[in-house]
Amino acid sequence: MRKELLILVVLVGIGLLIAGCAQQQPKATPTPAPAATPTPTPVTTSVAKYPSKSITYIIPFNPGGQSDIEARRQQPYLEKYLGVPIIITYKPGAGGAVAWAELTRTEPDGYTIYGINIPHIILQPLVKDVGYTTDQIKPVALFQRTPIGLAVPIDSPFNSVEDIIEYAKENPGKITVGGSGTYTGHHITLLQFEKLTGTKFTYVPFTGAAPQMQAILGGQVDAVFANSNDLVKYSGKQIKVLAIATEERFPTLPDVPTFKELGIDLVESIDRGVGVPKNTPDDIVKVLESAFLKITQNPDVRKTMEEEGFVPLSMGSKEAKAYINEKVKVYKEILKEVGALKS
Amino acid sequence: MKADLVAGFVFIFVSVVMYFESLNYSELGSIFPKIGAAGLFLFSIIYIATSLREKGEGYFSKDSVEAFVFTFVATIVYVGILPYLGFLLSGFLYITLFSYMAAPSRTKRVLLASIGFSVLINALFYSVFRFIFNVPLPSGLLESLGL
Amino acid sequence: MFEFVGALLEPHHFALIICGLIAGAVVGCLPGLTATMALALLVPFTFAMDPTSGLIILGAVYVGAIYGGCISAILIGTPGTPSAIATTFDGYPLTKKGMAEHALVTAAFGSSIGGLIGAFGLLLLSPILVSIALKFGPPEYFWLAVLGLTVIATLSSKSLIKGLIGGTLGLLMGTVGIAPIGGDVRFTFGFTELQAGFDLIVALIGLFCLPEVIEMMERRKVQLRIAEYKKKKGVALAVVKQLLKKPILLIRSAVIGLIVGIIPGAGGNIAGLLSYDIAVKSSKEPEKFGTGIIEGVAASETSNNAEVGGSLVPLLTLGIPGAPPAAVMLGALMIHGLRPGPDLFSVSGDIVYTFMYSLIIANILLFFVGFYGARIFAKLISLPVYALVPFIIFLCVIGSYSIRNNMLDVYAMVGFGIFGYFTKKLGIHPGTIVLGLILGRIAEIGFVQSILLSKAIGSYWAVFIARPISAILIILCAVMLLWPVFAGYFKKEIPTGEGD
Repeated sequence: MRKELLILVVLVGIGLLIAGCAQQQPKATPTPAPAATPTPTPVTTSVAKYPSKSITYIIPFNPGGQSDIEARRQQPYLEKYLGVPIIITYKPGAGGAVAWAELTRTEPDGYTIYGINIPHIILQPLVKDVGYTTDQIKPVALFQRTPIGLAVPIDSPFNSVEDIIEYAKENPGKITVGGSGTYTGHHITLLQFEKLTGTKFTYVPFTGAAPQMQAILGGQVDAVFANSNDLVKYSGKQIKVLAIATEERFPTLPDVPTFKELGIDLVESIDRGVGVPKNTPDDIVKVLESAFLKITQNPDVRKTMEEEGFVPLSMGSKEAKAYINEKVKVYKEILKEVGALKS
Repeated sequence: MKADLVAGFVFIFVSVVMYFESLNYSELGSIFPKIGAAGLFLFSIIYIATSLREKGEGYFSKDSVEAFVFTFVATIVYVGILPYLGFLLSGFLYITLFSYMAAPSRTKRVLLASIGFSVLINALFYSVFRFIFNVPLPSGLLESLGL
Repeated sequence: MFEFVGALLEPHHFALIICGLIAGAVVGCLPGLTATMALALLVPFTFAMDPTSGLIILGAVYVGAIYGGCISAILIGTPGTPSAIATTFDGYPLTKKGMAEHALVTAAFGSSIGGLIGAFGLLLLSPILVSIALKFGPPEYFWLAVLGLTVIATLSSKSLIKGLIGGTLGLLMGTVGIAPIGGDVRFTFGFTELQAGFDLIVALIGLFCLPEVIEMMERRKVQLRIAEYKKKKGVALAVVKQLLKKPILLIRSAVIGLIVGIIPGAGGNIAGLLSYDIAVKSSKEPEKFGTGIIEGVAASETSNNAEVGGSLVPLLTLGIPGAPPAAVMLGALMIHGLRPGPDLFSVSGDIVYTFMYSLIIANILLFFVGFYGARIFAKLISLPVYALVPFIIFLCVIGSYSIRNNMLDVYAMVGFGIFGYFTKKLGIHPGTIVLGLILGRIAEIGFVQSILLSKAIGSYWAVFIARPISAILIILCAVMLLWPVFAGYFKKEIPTGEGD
C-alpha cells in the first residue's frame, strides 16, 4: 500500500512540474493585427513586437506606500493599454537605492520597469556611492507631483512664514524642523529656505513621512517640511500650513500662500515616475511612455490625485530628462555649499 | 573552555576594528557604533576573564561537527546553484539528495520516498508562489533557455 | 454606534473572515513570510470586492498571520513572524516534551483573548489611546527601546555576560548600512549591496532556525523525530481551565500588547518579549519559564495578538500605521477609496465600524480555526528528521528570498545561520542578538533625534528626563533591572517547606 502511494505521489508531482513549466509561456499573447499595408517599421535586433510577455513593475519601497498605491491604480490601465500582465514586486532598501542600483544591471528590453522618485535619484548619487548614477536611469514618464509645504501645529505661536523667519533670525538653530531622511527632498527644501532667507534651523530627520507627521501632530518638533498629501489630510484640524513650494497656488489648499508670493523663490516637490535602464531602445520607451501618459489624461485618475493632495503630471521622457538635468545643477550647488557633495 | 577564549578574542578584534572604522563617520552617525564597539570590547574582556576560570567539556562533539558540516555544505551548495539551475531544479536536487544521504539506512525505498517527497514539496510551493502569489522565484539560466 | 452590528451578520462576511484567518495563518507560520507579506500578497485579491468585504478579509488575514507565527515557533523553534519570538522560549520545549498540543491550544486561546482585548480597545478607547501615542517623541522611543533591552537580562539567566555580548553584537549588526540619521554609510567596506543593512527577518531565520535544525541533525541517530505527536483527549479543556485560573497573566499581557501596538514603529515584535519578561518577573516560580510551561506561551501570544488591535488605532484615527502590516492596510484602504485620517470616521464611519466589529468576530473564531488548523500542521513534526530538516531549510530559503526579492538575503540568512550556530554553542541566546538588532535601531534613532532636539532647546535634561512619559519609562527600566534583587529579598521571607 505504501509503495503505491509513493508512486502516485511521484506521478502527481511530475504532472504538476510539467504543468508548471508549460505555464511559463506568456499568458496573454496579443494576436498580431492582420497586415493591411504593412509599413516597414525598423525592427530592432531582439524585439519583434513589444510587449509580448508580462512586464515586471518594481517598487523601490515597502508595500502600502504611496508608490505602491499609484502602481496598483495604474495596473489595470497598463494591462489594458499594453495588453500584457503587469506584475508588481517590491525591492525596498536604502531609500530606493537598492532597486535603482539593480536597474542599472537590468536588461534594457523594457520588460522590467522601475518606479523612480525625484529628487531621490538625483540626490542619492550626489551624496554618496550608491551603486548607480542619475544618468544611468532613463525616465519614461513622470506622473505625479507632491509639492512640499511648511506646516506647524495648530496651536503654534507662529501664524505665518514671516513669524518663523523673524524668530529664527533672533534664535538661530532653536526652531526644530522635521523631515523625512537626510539629504532628501525635505532636507534640501529646508537648506534652500535657509539660504534664501538667511536663517538657521535645526533639522530633525525621521525615517519616513508617517513618523514625521506623527511628530508634528504630537508637537515633538516645531515645524515640518512635508508632502502635500499629508498636509491636506491634517490641515486646519491639527496643523496649519504656512506656505507651499509651488509656482502657483495649490488648488486643494487655496488659502495657503506660495513661497514665491512671499518673495522666497522656493519651488520643490517630490515627483513620481517610471524609469528604465539608459540603453533601452527608444521605440520601447515610446510605447511605455504613451501608456503612462494616457493614464494621466484620464479624468478619474486626475480627480483622485487632486483630492488626495497631489498634482497630476504628464511629463514624457524628454521633458522629464530636461527637468532632471536642471535639478541636478541646482542641487549640486546647494550640496557643495553645505559640504555634502561627494568628491 | 577553548571555544570561549577563541570567541572572546574574535569579539575583541571585531570591536576594535569597528571602533576605528566609526571614527570616519559624522558626529551623529558614529555615536552608536562607538558605544557598541566599546561595550563589546569591555564585555569580551570580562568574558575571557571568566572563561579562564572555568573548566568543562568542549561544546563540540563528533556528531555535532558532522551534522554542522553536512548541513551547511549541502545548504551552501544549494544556495550557490540556485541562481543557475533555478528554483525548481535546485530545490528538487537538494531535498532529494539531503534526505537520502541523511537517512539512517540508504535503501531504495528511502530513495523513492525522498524523490516523491521532494517532488511534492517543490511542485506545491512553486505553484503557490508563482501562480497564486505572483512572486517571481529565481529562474536559473537553464530555465530561461525555454524549459 | 451599535446599529452596524446588523451589517456584519451576513453569512458571506463570516466566510471571508474564516478564509482570511486560514490564509493568514498559513502564510504566518512559514518562517520568513511575515504578516506584512501576507497582507501585501493578498491585497490584490481584494480589488474585486467592495471596500467593506476587502477590509474584513484583510483584517482577518492580519489576525491569522500574527497567530500563525506561533505554529512554527512551537513546532520547530523558529518564529514564523517576528512577533512570535518569545513564543519559542517555552513553546518549543513543550513540543520536545511531547506536549505540542498543549502549547498550540494555549497559543490559540491566548491569541484569541489578546486579540479580543485589542479589538475592544480599538473600538472603545481609540481617542484616549491615540493621545497617549502622540505623546511619544524621540526621547520616549529611546527609553522604550532601553526598557526592551532590559529583557536581555532575563534571557541570559545562565550568564549575564553572554547575554550582554549577544545584545551588543545585535546592536552592532544593526548599524551596518546607511545610518537612519545623518545618512553615513557604515561598515559596508565597499560593498554597496550591504547598504540596505541586515534585514530582521533574515537574521531571525538564520539565528533561530538553522542552529535548531543542526541540533536535530546532531541527534538524528539517537532521536529520529523531534517528538512523538499523539492526539490526546481532553487536552484542550484542561489547558483552557488552567489558563482561566490566571486571568491577571492574560489581561496584563494583552494590555502590554495593546499599548506597545499603538506606538507606531515600536515594533509589535517587542510586545511579546516584554510581556514574557514581565510574566517571568511576576511569577512565583520564575525558574520554570524556559523549560516549557504554558504560561510562557500564553504571555507571548496573548500580547502579540493584542498588538494587532493596537496598531490599527493610530491608523484609523490619524492615518498613521502602528506597524508594517498596518501600513499595508493603509495602502489597501486608499486603493479602495477610503482616506484614513481624522476624517475617516465621519466620511466612512459605517465601513470602519463594521470592520472593527469584524475584528472582534475574527478573534473569537481564531480560537477554533487555530485549534483545529494547528493540529494539521502538528502532524508535520512526525516526519523523520532527515526529511524534515531539508524541508525546513527549503522554506527558509523561499522565505528569505521573498522578503526583498533578493538572493543576497538568502546568502545573508545562511551566514546568520553559521554565526547563530556558533553563538548558540557558546551559550549566547539568539533572542539577545535579535533584541539588540531590533531595539538598537529604535534606540539609535530616538537617541540621535533627542540629541538634536536637546541642542536646539539647549538642555539635555529637559529632553531626556523632564518629560512625563520618559520619566515613567526610566523608572520602569530601573524596576526591571533591579527586580531580581528585590525578588530575591522577598523570597527569603516566604517560609519554605510548603508544597505548591
